[in-house]
Amino acid sequence: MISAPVKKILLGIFDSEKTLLTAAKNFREKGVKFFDIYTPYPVHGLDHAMGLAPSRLPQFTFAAGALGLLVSILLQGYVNLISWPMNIGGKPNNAWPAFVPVCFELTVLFGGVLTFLAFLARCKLFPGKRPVISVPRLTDDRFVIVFATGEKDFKLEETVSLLKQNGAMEIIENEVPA
Amino acid sequence: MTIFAVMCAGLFPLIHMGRPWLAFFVFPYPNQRGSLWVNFRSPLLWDVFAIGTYFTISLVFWYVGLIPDIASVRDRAKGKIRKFIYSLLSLGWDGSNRTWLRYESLCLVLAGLSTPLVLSVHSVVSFDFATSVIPGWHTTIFPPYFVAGAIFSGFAMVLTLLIITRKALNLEHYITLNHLEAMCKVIILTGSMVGLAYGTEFFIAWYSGNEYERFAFINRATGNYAWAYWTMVSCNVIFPQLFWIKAVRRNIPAMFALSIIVNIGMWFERFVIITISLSKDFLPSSWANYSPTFIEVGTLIGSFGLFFTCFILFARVLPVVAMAEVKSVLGFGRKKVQGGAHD
Repeated sequence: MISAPVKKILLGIFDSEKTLLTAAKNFREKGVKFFDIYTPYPVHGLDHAMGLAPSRLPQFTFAAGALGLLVSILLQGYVNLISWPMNIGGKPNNAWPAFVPVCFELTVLFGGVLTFLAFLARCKLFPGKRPVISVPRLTDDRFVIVFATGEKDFKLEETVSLLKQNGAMEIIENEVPA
Repeated sequence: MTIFAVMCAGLFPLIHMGRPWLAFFVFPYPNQRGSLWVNFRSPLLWDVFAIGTYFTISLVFWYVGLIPDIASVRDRAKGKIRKFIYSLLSLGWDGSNRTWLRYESLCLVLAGLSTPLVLSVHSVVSFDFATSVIPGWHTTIFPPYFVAGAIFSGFAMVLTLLIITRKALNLEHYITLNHLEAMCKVIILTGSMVGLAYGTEFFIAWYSGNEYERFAFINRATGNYAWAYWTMVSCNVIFPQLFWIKAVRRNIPAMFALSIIVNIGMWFERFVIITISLSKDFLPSSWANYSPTFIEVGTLIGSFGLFFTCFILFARVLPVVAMAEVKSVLGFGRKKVQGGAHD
């Protein structure tokens, strides 16, 4: 039987936001790389401690909204000027002030829905996905730092002792599908 | 609540179409009828887009807010079927910090998008009235007036539901008296804005010099339906002023009673705008009094039933309080919180 490729990981489990945050900062100062950190709620300052850049989703939203605006202008222009121009009370066909509400709505609709889909795609979330790691009470009140132990310059013993020093309540070695 | 209310509201135009099975005709799509398109110059079509967008974005925002909490429920769920359903809905959420980072960014974007949507949806609904020529409808004050009214009645309805829910589900430590008091303050503010709008309407009806407009408003206050008009004014403008008194703002039965009064008042506002304006228009020969048929009463009761069924189902199967958000604010995991005291 061929086994699926696996990734070896080390889990350091914490029980409070504060110890997790100081631990993450200490690790970063030592230059130890994280695979990821898992928390039950967004911990402010953790992205900084992990060295993550701010999300680019807002830029995406701008582009998606601009696309919505373009679609609404093209749609209304095509319908009213090219496909089926109708004389309504002798008013001009290109009655652009009347098109503003639909332009606005489609801008918002495209911006919102496409950003949501981009978020799901970027985070690889979809129905039927299994959580990458599962630790009891992870989504309740546990905070977990995960290291990829398979990497070249990873020093297992040093990391374990650092985790202990920083107040990890539990340390587990585990494997996840790569 | 928005979602269920919009679902109920959406039913009425569907019923009104007469041929609800052709409801998809409201969408602009290439067809073999010409292509015959929808009229982009009609406020009714703007409504399709405004309400459609409002509903979609609200649904997305609601679901996004629920994902981490559904994951939390999934991890505690007992029983295979429950676990399976919550697993599907949670999309494999595991609380990775990279995901959280993008998640917060997404929430900010959606919040930013839905705020102007609230303004736009009520403005566009008010255009349906304002662009017509019926006296009492044809006014430029309608968009801001409808927005203030919507926030006003929305807060009152949320207050009604919140008071019941927090009691029934033992959430008094999370949804505190301070929260409810803050809501009461918003109700005084928006209620007074609605009151100002009523006054402005009367002033403009007089100041415009338009005799039809003037008649429509005198008829509102003194005509056959004066009882409805004064019910509206007292429920929406006079009674909410009791919230200036701190003891009332911190008394739950009083708040509950006042929130119901506001709901009744806002229902009468729609009745006043629609029924009174239509009952006496330009031609005296077409003047008539309106009384609801029992089918109309039935649809009203039915819409209440639909709303409360959805709401109660929601409260039964999904988390009503955004758990992940509360955890990050309440100093979760620190001993102090146990027993419900706040720090």
